[in-house]
Amino acid sequence: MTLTPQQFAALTLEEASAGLARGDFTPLDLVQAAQARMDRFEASINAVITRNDEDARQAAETKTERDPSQPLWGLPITVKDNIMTRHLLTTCGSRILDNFIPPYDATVMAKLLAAGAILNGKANMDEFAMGASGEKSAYGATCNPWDTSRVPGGSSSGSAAVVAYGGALAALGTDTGGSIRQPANFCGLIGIKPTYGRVSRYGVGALASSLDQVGALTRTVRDNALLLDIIAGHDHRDSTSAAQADSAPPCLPTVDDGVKGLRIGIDRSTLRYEGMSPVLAGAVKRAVDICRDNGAEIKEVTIPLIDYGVAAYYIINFCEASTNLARYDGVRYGKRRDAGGLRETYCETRGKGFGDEVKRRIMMGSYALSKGYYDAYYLKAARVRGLFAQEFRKLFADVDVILMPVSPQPPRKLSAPTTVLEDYLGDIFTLPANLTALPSLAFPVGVFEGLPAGAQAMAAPFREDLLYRVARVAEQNTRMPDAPWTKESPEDPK
Amino acid sequence: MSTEYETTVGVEVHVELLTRTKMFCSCLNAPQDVPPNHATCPVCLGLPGSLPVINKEALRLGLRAALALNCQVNEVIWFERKNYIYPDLVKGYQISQYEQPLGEWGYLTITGDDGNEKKVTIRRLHLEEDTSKLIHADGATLVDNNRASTPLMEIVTEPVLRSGREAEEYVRKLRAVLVYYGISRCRLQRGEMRVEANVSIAPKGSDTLGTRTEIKNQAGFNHMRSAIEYEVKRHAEVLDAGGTLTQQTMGWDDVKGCTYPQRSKENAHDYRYFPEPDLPPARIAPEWVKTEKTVLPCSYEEYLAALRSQGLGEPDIEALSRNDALGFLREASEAEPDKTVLYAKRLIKDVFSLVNSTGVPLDEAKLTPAAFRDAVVMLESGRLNGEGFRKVLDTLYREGGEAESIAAAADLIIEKNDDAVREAITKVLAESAAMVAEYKGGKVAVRNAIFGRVMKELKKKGDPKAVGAMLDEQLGQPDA
Repeated sequence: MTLTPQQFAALTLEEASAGLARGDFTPLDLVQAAQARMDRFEASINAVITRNDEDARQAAETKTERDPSQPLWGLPITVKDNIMTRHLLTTCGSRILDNFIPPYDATVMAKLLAAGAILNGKANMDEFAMGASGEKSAYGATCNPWDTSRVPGGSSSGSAAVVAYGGALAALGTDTGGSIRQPANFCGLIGIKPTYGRVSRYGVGALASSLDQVGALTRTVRDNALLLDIIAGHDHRDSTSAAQADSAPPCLPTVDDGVKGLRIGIDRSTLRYEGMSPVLAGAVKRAVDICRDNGAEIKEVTIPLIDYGVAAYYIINFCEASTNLARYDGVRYGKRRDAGGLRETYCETRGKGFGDEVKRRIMMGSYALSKGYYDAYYLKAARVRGLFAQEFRKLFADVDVILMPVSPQPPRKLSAPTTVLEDYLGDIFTLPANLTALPSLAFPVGVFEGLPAGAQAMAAPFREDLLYRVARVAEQNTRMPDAPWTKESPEDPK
Repeated sequence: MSTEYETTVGVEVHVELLTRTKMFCSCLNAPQDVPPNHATCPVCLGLPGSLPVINKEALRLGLRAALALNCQVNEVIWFERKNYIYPDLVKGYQISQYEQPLGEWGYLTITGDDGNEKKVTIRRLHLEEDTSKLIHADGATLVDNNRASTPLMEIVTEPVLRSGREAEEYVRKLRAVLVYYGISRCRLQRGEMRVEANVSIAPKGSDTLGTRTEIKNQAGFNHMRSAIEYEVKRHAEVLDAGGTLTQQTMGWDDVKGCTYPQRSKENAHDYRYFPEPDLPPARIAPEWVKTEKTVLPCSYEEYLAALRSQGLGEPDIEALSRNDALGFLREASEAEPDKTVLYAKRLIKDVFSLVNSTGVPLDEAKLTPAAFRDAVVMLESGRLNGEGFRKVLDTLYREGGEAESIAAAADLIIEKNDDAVREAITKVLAESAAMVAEYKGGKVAVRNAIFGRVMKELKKKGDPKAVGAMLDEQLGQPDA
């Protein structure tokens, strides 16, 4: 067979599956092509913490008889390294887990495998998903395959980069405040943050339990809908998983239904927001224009409370993270650094095992939950969150989908000087979906000044189907010239 | 003259719930029955990514306890994380209840020091998970996670007890009630019930409480009482001498008969409670409470009264209580409550003797109330004779199973077939011509030997009364 790595890189999940069905190539061909892509790109991109070469090859070799009931049969997929994979190192991007091999698969991982997928690697990420640049991984920063001098976004940095350079057909990431949508957007991909409770969190290393959701990063809208339909569903192991996850409409069947008659809301003030890049604002306008041109009804809306989001979001994030990470003490698993006494061993294990951002959040979260501060911080943030959810949901009485920017700024240069506050403010447009549990999707509308840019769409709970219809129309009206998945190597100037 | 003081005691009790599985996962709740770390899974080990799911049976037992203790049941409850780091706490927090416990403001009635009935106010009753067990050996500390996340219930009184005696009566009564309802086995030696008492004294009539000390983890209720009484005396001595008390945790040295300050690992601990984001609030539906109330058997007090009114004597009641058998008896005799005394007598006579002979207490034996009931029914209907009944009980007690199948397997079921009995009698009489002649000649004592031969012929399955009557009929009167 003559599937070159470059041909593989340009394949969608659907095309690869069709190719397997026709017998154009085998699962082993796909796995080997993906490995060749990684061989070529990993040295400069660093998207993958652990390659699963040997196991993926063996899995591919056992897949000799195509099973049409398995929609992902024989397709190599990468998952973020905070998704537990049985028998395969799972670090959460942290030194403290650099020897942790889970004895179980996350529910989403089990679903991928049951659908026939082949796990070909664990994607790099900001440590414990804390970060928006991919630079806060203990395993080195990931570079943006569109421009290796820039960040790919984060925290699902590796998931985005590996799909963008064609080392995997698709990837799973997690999104707590934009960690799928922002890197997807920085890398020219489709990224979904599903409704909270639509996808199981069982087996996903927690950052902030009430905000985390698993989602897919893909090169096409149809691939993304296909993956969401597979990983979604109620899970009795996750008490926050919604019963509605089983009854909500599947997404793939209606992807091509168009936007005719859909009511789409836009708050123009978001495009003029302080610090908003005119280029990215232009991308959102383009998304609006495409929708209008395709028969959608555009309505002006006012997105409420946006200025209060960052503060409320980060307090909740810190508080939950501070206790979610308490278990990493080196007693039962992970890297223990013995230092004599118990207290000393704790200090050494956690002091050396965690990076600065993680420690910052643990300290701030512990502080905000302390006696005397709880009411002023956690409780107030929880109230703001309640208000947020209430106000946002009201919007969907008048519109079906809201369009807004993904982030105020394009991917910055690697190691560019920034402040912690600037980093946090970058989440302003993505975190409302997490605070409100609403589904949200980022999609590209083109390439501007050499970098992909796009918009974010939000809908009412469990209406991901509407988001895909919008993104699909945009996709049909968008060209993505010189995408990295079309290139031979990272240096390829083409 | 020294000041007259008033004692105030509050009691906090932790009990392990008698569920099949753990509080938040499906691991067996049998921490001491399997080798260390064998009853564990990603959830109770707190592995990254694992999530808790509430055990409904634990909720049900908690609800049952709340109702038995006359608590108000909160319709919406939730769990909080209680944060502290220690090697016996796998997640670095314990999932517990803080703001909205399962039950609040109940009471348990005891006899107060003044001889009158006294309602001990129960401020809260909540559910939580237990910690792992640390084993210190040879300078190392080992962690056994079998107990991690087993269901625990905490019951806290208001500071309304007035003496060590009242506190002891309260915990004894509480234990009896929880055992009676099958909520917990409350075996102290296994740590299934743990008691902490807060003690303070204040000048009589004062409306503020004095500085309190906490007495932890006593081996027995009488130890707790001694420790409280000792603390009361010590507090008074310190105060009378013009000293001040410090709030601290005390241990009890039973050999020396005194308390001693324990090393405290929690100086002004801040547990940073906040709602557990992995568990949405649970609704205790009023319909569920109603159903649970209707299936809840009569109260412990009502049951004792019923036993007395049916004529069961105090020594028997005492024996049943001592063996934690009241709940067992109630369940066994549920279908025939008017025969409770009969079941009680059988339990005391035939089952408690097995407790002694096997050394296995009733609550650890394999015998279930239902199996016991079936065996008694077989005895009463004549399908088992006394000997067969005891054999069946013995097997049930040691190995478990069902009375009917055990009796059948051991060939103990009494032959009701009169023809077979008559045949056996005819056969024995024919074989024992000499004995029959002796009998006819007036040596009536031989009749018992003949009867023995018949029973042997029937492989001891005959109902002695019926067989005897039929034998006498065939044998007739002596000639003389």
